[in-house]
Amino acid sequence: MQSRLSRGLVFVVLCLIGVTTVYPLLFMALNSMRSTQAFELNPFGLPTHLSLSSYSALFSTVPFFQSILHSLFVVVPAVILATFASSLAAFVFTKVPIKMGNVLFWTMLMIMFMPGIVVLLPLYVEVARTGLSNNFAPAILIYTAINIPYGTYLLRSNFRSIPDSVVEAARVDGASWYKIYLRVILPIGKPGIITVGILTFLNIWNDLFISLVLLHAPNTEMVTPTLAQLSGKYTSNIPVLMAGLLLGALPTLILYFATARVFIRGMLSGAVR
Amino acid sequence: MASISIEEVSKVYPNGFNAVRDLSLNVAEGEFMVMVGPSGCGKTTALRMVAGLEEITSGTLRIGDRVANQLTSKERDVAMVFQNYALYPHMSVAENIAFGLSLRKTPKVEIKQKVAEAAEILGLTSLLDQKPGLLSGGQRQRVAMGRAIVRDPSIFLMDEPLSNLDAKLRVQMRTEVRRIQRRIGVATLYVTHDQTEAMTMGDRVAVMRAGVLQQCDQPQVLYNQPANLFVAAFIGSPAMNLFDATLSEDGTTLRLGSQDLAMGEQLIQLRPGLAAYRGRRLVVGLRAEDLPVYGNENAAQAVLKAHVETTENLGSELLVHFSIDAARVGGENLGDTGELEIVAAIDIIGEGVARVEPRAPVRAGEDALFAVFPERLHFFDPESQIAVS
Amino acid sequence: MVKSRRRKNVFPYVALLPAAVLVLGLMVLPIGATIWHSFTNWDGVNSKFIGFKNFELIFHNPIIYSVFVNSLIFLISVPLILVASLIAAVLVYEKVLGWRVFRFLFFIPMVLSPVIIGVLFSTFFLPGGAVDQVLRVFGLGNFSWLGNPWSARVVVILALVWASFGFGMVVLLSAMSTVDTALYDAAAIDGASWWRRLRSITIPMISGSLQFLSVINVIYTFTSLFAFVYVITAGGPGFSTTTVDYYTYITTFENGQFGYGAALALLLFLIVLMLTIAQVKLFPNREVQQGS
Repeated sequence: MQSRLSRGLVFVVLCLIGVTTVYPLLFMALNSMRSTQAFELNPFGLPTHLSLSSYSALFSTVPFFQSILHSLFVVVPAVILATFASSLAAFVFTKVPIKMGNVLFWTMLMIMFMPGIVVLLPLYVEVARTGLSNNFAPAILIYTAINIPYGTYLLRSNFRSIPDSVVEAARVDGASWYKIYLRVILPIGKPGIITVGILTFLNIWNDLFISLVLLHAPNTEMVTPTLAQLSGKYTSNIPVLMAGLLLGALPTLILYFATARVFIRGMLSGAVR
Repeated sequence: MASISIEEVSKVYPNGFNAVRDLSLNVAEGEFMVMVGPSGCGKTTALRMVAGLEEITSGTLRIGDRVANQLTSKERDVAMVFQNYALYPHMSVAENIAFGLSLRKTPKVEIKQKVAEAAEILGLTSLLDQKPGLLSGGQRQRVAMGRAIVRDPSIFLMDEPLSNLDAKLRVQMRTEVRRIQRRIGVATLYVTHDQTEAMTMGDRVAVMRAGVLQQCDQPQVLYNQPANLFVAAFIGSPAMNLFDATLSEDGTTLRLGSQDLAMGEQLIQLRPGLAAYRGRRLVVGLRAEDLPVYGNENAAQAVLKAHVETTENLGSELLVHFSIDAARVGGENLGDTGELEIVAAIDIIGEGVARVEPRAPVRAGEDALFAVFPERLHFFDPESQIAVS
Repeated sequence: MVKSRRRKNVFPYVALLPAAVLVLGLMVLPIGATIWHSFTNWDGVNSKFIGFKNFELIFHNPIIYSVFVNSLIFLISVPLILVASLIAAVLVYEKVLGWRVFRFLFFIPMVLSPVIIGVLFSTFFLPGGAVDQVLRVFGLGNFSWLGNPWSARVVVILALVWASFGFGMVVLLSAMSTVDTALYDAAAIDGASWWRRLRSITIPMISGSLQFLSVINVIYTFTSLFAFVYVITAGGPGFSTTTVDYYTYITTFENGQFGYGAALALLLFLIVLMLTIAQVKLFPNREVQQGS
């Protein structure tokens, strides 16, 4: 068709954009296996031989592996808690007729737009005062709380696409609200809930601000602050830095690659608005 | 099994909208009651109040001998078929049908047997492992029915269950639904906007308009003795011809536009109520089939002359669309809004339909003569719209 | 008349409890505390009510103005993100060979931490780094990208656009999928060119989503550049890339001026609120998208 954009041109432009999103990953991977000298000579070169010395340098200078474990230790429970609490709240907001439901929801939405620092400032002082800084529990709870409004907002629009009549059919079938949540909403809303769970995981894993403020001791430090400090220490040793970046990105990349089908579908179905 | 007794039930929404006003209705055990009316007439709200999905603002609802106002749907032991079927998309057909039973902790063996039984009745046996998404509209409808009947509910509620089917299947399913309902013999409240469906399916039919029950009776009674203008206009296809008319001072002649139809003394003898309308305007109603072409064999006392606009030959009968110079009564979109107005301007041409014998000598563009029988006429007060008898 | 009163159903309240307790205790209360302490000279231990003193100090602090201007400068990223998102979405929507793969790849920046993206970009722009070496080929090398205010800002903006366009693309693709394809067929029959269809059908039909993206990216630019700035420039050179949220972080957590920081944080919220309202008012045609 004449009025179509040339498909060849579209393909070429898409490839160019694709290169910008993929090349940085390759850049990290390739240069993490090269020597500093080789990198300084030519950042675009390929590794001449498989060298994992940057990785051993990384592990010997910073407790990198531990920081990954710390992150997992905080992120996993926070994601589960936040997604669970959000899904319950979103179910009530969409399917259970309650007084003030809308007021509560809009209040939550207002809170969602608060800059993180407004919330974190007194929390930091309180955590420090009670001697709980560098303790995982407050960090988990704070991450959970901060992710609930957004999760509720996303799941609310998601659950709205479940017809009310299906819930009513379950009520007529004799299901309690609890049973409806468990046996109707959770199974039907599963793709949306998984999508929101992944988004929450990415949010918390990738966050720097809260982890920097609450967990700054070496024995509790999460992966993003570790990486941020690595860049200060290793601006001269790019291969070690690249090894760190790649390993720090790996959990989210694996999560994305493994769930891409459900995740992309969930995102496209309007879950993000 | 139980009866449904709705006593002066009203529904007022928080925004002040009064959806149902003082509705009283009884559905006996085993009876098939159809609620019909234009959209927004409150029929679905009434059904949802019986189901326990909508709170009852005032009045009493009894299911069997129990007052059910405050019972949950589960405690009321109702089953319901929804307009869009509302099947659980993540469950197979068998799981959909079994869901209500499994919530009641019915033993697995019994569930299996009951599901198989219901599937057998509905012809779903081969589809039990399918997910609803793969089924056709008719099959989904059957699953929804199966989910309702498998539980042996006390009462059975259906909200426009056939309206999402195509025309042919819809007609087929009418008898199917009645067959199943007779078989399980449960009091059934069935909501539809389609008066043909109501007339063909209901043991009794309740006609609603703007939240108010207009008339509740057997289909023949609704058809032959409509209680008011709305029921007269709503029930029947083609709709009843309604014209603005005037009764003469002596009560023997009906003036319809420029024509005088001499009815004789019989007219008031048949309907004593007409005596009060001597010399006054009223609305006269004529069913299409009550207007045969005038011939010598007709013992009619009056003849109506009308201009034939078009004819529709349906094979077994001929529909004659005619016009006379009397004002027609009725809203344009009666089926949608239930609004009824009396067009009173004298010069308006009123259109009507007659259903005559297929070989009748009637041609479009010519005038035709129709026989009018006093005993087949319907009369309504133009103000109150109530039938005069 | 029987007044209907359903038996109290406790489920909704129990179900809301976890979310309510956490949000109330760890968000609403802290917000209240921040509001209160913005009127005190809180240092983390002692606090005394000092009225509007903090706000006075803020308005007399020349750095605040330059920091605020920096945040405004970084707003340049918003139209860039919108354009990049739109290009990506429109091209993917053409459904050429491998479009699903491209969609998959364009998401990648979205799953990476701003820390990783920031470090990566600062590595690219280091003296002797990848960009420098490419420029050397054209005889332009040895430029200190991060040592110069404007070029440092460019690096931050580039990182921001790269990090954000994937999310924008998803939002727009999701909006585009709700547009009735019959509209495109009708336009094609009317002889509308590809460009014309984009302008007259696609963009108007997704204007609601474009507005949504614009609003959240403005909010993001003001409140969430912290990680980018922290790892790319640490606010420098001078204060040239210090944003409002980064400055608030420094004064609060590094200098321990909690009362002052609270006032700054609140001010930040008010700015964001005003910008959001302004944007909603500026786009009068948001109704177009509402039908979906």
